[in-house]
Amino acid sequence: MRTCQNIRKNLSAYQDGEVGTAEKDVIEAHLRTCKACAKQHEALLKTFRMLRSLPAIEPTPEFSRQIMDRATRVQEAFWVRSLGQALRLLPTPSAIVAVAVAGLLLGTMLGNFLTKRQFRSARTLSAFHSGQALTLASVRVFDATPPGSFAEGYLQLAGQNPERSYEK
Amino acid sequence: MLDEPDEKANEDLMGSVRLGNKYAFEVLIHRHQRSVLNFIFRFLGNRTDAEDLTQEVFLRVWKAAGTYKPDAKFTTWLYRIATNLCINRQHAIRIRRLFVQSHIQEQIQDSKDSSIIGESAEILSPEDRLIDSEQSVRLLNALNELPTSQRVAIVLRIYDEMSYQEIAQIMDRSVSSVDSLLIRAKKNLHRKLVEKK
Repeated sequence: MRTCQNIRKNLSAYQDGEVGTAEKDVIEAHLRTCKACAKQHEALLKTFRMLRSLPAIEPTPEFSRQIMDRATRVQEAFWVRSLGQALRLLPTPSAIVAVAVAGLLLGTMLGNFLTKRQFRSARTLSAFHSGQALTLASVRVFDATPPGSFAEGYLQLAGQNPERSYEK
Repeated sequence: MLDEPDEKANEDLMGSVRLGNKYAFEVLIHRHQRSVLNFIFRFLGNRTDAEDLTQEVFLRVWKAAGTYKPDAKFTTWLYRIATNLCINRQHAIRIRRLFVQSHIQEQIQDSKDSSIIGESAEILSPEDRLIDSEQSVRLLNALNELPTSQRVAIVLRIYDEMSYQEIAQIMDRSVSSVDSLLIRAKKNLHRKLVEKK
């Protein structure tokens, strides 16, 4: 026979259906014979019922809409904040000016280099003003890289000289 | 159709919320707003605070969706957020009440006008009068007087009908600890509600 103290310790779990079948049988058998424990069981049930009688409140019809509106504002604020952070990552105005100046200088140097190469190419052609050379040079207009064209300049830069093979 | 968001499991909907799906989020709100609102109302005993905090709970869900682990039960995660916010709000309310009380005492000292007490000590807002029967107020007060952990356990058990296992997960405690919390909570409530009647 279990002591009343042990039974009362498990009364709450018993009422909540949280005890196993064997324990449940023991408690129920005890409650049938012990008036004191049965009284405590009834008192706890009464408290339980009383608490359950507390009515529930209902959310207002616009409640979920209000939450959605707040969530949308949170999302918008997030994007604004992210954009602000991205803008902060951009360089300062002085750095932008420095990069622009460096770009201009590099562009000028590259332009000079390409122009000189094109003049040199033109001088080479004028040395071949004999009839055959002129004919062959004229035929080269139909080449993939005609002399003096941008494509020829690019190939020269890339290290291939289309004229070299032609001169041979 | 199983693919309809309305019929999807909470955990699947959270998967969509993580990807920024607002419709899935709205379905979750519709599904759980009433239970969360009532959990908080029974914890704090004030409708205005409960509504405000319920919105806050769902906003946290929206903001922290990325941290949700799909293998965790959604309601456990949701109620854990609600419980933490309730405890924080309770501290804030206590501080506010202490401030109001000290403010009233200062005014009494200054003006010796006792009528101020009647005006300022009014805790229930007009919305609270929805549940203004003597019995309901007594129940809410009794719940409110319980220690925080006992109150969380009893509200989750009685009103949300959660198992000891679920309550243990939400409160980050063992099942036996939840059991003893509930025993103490019921005894305390019995003393407050039945014996003092």
